[in-house]
Amino acid sequence: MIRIGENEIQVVRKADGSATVWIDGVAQDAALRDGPAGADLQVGDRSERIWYVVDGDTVYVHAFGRAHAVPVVDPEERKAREAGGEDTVVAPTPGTVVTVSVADGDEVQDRQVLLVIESMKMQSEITASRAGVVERVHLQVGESFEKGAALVSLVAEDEEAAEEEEIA
Amino acid sequence: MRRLVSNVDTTSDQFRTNREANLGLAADLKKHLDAARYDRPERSLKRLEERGKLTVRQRLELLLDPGTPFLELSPLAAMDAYNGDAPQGLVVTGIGIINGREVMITAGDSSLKGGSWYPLSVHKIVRALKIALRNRLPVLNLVDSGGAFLPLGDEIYAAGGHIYYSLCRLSAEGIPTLALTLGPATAGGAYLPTLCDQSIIVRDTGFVFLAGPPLVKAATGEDVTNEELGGADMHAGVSGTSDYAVDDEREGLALCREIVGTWPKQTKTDVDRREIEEPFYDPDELYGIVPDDIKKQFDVREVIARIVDGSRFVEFKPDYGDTMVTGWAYLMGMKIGILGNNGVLFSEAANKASQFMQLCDRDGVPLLFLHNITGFMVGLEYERGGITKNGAKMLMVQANVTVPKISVYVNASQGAGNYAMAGPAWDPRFVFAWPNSRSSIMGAEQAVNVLTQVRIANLKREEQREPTDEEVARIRDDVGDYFERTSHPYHLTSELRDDGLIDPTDTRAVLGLAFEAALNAPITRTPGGVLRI
Amino acid sequence: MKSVLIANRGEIAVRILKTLHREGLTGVVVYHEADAESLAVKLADKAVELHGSPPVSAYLDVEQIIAAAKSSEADAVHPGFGFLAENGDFAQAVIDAGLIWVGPKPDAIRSMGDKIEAKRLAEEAGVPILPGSPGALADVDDAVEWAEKIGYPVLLKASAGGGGKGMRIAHDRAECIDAFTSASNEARASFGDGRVFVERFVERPRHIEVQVLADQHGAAVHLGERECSIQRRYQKVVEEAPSPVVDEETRQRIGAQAVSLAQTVGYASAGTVELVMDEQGEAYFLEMNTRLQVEHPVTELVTGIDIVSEQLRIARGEELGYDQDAISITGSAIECRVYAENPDEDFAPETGTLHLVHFPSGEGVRVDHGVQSGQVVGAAFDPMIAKVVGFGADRTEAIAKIRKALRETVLLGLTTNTAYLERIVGHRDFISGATHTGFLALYEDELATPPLEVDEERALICAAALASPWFDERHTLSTVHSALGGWRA
Repeated sequence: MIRIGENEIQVVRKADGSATVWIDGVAQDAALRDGPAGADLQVGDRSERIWYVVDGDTVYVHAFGRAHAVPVVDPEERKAREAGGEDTVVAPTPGTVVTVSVADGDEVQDRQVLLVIESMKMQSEITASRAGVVERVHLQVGESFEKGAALVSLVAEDEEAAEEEEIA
Repeated sequence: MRRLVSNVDTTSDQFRTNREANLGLAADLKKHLDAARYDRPERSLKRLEERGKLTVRQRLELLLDPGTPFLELSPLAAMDAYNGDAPQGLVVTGIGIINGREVMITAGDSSLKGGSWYPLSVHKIVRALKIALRNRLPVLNLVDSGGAFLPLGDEIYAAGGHIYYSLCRLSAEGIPTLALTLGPATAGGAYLPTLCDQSIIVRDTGFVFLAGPPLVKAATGEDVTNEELGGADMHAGVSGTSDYAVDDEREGLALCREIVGTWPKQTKTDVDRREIEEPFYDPDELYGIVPDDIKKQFDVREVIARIVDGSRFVEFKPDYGDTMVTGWAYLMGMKIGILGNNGVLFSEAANKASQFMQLCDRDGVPLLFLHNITGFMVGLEYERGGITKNGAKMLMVQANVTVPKISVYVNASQGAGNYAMAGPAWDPRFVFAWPNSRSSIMGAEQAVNVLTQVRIANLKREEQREPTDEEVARIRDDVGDYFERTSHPYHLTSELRDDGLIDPTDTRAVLGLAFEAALNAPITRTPGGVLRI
Repeated sequence: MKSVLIANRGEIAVRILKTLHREGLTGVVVYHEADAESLAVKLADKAVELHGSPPVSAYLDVEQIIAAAKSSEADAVHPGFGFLAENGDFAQAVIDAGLIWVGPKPDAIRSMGDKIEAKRLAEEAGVPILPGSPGALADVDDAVEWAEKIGYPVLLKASAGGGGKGMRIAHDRAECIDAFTSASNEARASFGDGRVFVERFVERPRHIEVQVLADQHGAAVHLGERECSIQRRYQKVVEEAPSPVVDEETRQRIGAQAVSLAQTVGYASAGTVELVMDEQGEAYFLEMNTRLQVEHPVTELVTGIDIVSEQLRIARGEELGYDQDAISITGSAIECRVYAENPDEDFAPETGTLHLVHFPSGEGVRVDHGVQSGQVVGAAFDPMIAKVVGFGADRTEAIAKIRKALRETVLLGLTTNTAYLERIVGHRDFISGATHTGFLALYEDELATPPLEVDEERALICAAALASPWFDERHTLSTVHSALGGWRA
């Protein structure tokens, strides 16, 4: 269920352009109608002239004389994003290595290109599943591999944290 | 449009008597509905909870858009069967709103008997899928059934196959189908999710296989677990039998909502619509209008006045065939043609109905049949007047109209009158009944008289004697009991002869939802002029 | 003068373009790539790209700007404020290139740029000065000696200072010793000039400044005062004209002193004499700004004089053509500086895209800005987005106008201080005129963002939900389903 702030939200839009917004299971009649300047927001008996703009998961709303940034998030999506990726990047298909862009010990960002592989005459980029440090690049340019073969391993996250602590 | 003028005296004794009787019936209906939906042993509910499972009602609430209507179908199915072991047939069917779309939902109820399918369970699902196909409603199956109740296997076997056939037909018709497997789906039941266009399975509790581990062990000697044989990860990751694996029921239900949200927006058949207007006359007065005795007469216009928008009604042929009331009204904003009986059908009434149905069909106006009919008139004069021929014309026209037909039994619906008024055998989109109604092959009293005469005649022929008064009374009682029981709405609804019993005051809402659902299917009109029959 | 190059960016470039266009002159702007999509570039008749890294260096590059003026056939240069506006060498370079410099002579700029020299000249012109050391302090001992002569508390100031840099308050001898060292170190680091002087520190001071106009023929007038006491870390935040505490007599007295100073230094353009006013209402010389001020609109609104237009006329060599009697102050105007900053996070600058920009308009509202919807606000430049001004027949009306204007200033995409500004001008002490430069620090807690009311929060959630693409309009219910709500049999 979508969340706005700490609240679980559901919206049921009605034929007359109004809607019921369910905030944590409590119904609230509301309508948002775009006008020539800004928009009219009706919530229950209260009516407000507001301005809004949507940028990705944030809805910016100018209301009550000031601006508000309201995050509209899918907690599942966030959970998946924050969970981070696997330690080892494996081959999605059989193929050969075309280029290798990282070396052991390199720091990499999430989704950074690690190597380019060729499979069935198509080249594709293999990217990091999370930010981290490269423990080992398993293959060299020109080497071929099977589906599921380990391509690049990252230093395990708990090890990484342990190392950082040691340094600290 | 003119408003109907009501002649009901709400202060009369009859009104009060009727009201008391009908409120009693309504309360009884509610009691039965509550019991069928919610009465479950504490331990059954606890067992569900322990396995991380929700009740079927909880699942529906999570699935449906909050604050939107749900038209449950045949909620009292099997109430009169299997010693009450399978309330609702252990499956909930109905039309609900998911992300703004109307969806036919079938939802297995494993709170009793592991959600086993009884013969009526199967018929109920078949009926739901038939409604879905006829009205082009997308289908969502919440699969949670231990499988067929084998002691009644022969009654289940053939009809059960029709479930899977229907899913294949739905797919071919381009009507989306989706399944969420929250429990076992075994043997034939495995096809319930698998024949859907898309299939989701819940980890740990959802299983799909032709035969479970014990059967496999017996057949091939293999030792396997449920998860290995038909679990979510196996089917979503290895066999491809399912398309999505989810961690729990809530996630599965959320995914259902998301997938339904990607389906194309339904386009409705264009019918004449106007702003919704509440009836001028209070629907609550229906309780006082409907007689406390099936034999008592009342004016069906008083019912129309309490279910249509603004109580407005344009009556067609008001001075002709007065036992048949025909005319146009708007119901929840949709223009419909209404046929309502004021008792027995005569030739003029039948012809008037035929003419009116042709008019509505040509204009694409859906039809509502309000059953208050004891049958066609009998007797020499009427046969000479062609009553059988005129009845046949009415059946011919009614059977072949292309607009949606919906029937409501507001009082008696007996004999060929039920056929003429689009009874269940005549492919209406929906049939609903009021708790005061009765439906049988002929009126109970006439049937008793006829059957008693037959039995007495038999007795005379076989034993060459007059029956004693006691014997006559016993015969009358036997026949009477049978007719009283089998024409009773609880019996009929238990046997799925209708799509549900409804409180009279819910009629307007039920019909609004039913007509709205029916408009998902296009109307393909057959060209032809209207005969002044 | 046919074509004027504006050696600036942002709202002031747009502001100057307005006057140029009204007077039928061609407006040329210079811009760095980071400003390529800005309103100033869009509105300019010609725009010349400058190069530099960091971007701010482009607007400080004298050679590139002179070359841009030549290539664009501009015959005059207006520096705006900030950047090179008070750089005597730049003024000289413009003049040497045969272009008209819209500003005072380089000498005047230079002499006023040195605080010690400026203070000396002010005294000479009859502007009261705070008791203090006559020149730079030789060493710590000198500092302490002067401090004790003046009496604590004292303020140690860098001669080359500005913007609060190299400034320290000392309440006693020990503090004075520390203050001298740290002020001179900071001044040396910031300005390459470690000279420091000391003067009396005024408690709860008001910042009052006088706008003057002087032509090249020796005529000069003042346009009354502005009060700019609402400051945060020596940066003005709210400015108004006239000051609620300056009466007509004081106005004429400090005005005449400012005019006298302008004439003393041979000033010929618009300039501002800044004063510090103590709680007894005595005003002392602070410094003179030899340029157009950020807050000039409030003076324009109460005098009806377009100061940029007057700068252009003076630069062309025209005579002022009117005397002091022609100047009258009518009504009240209050300006608020809108910054891309987060008042709840210690005013950290905000960067990002302004997805939606809508400014108020109408009677009693003036907005000077240089932004448009979709514009990126980067970290490369000053985070001031706009100046919102309210004016009315009196101060009460002006406050009502500015509050309404701030509430109606729509800047979506990054955090700005509009609501904070509205809380300032709505504060009881601002309304009563009881302001001083410590106002914002004193009322820090009161001015913090208040939590939303429950119904406001609910309304916001509804607005966000209805605007969010998560809740698609394709999911709209039919009329029948809408009418029945959560119906169940």
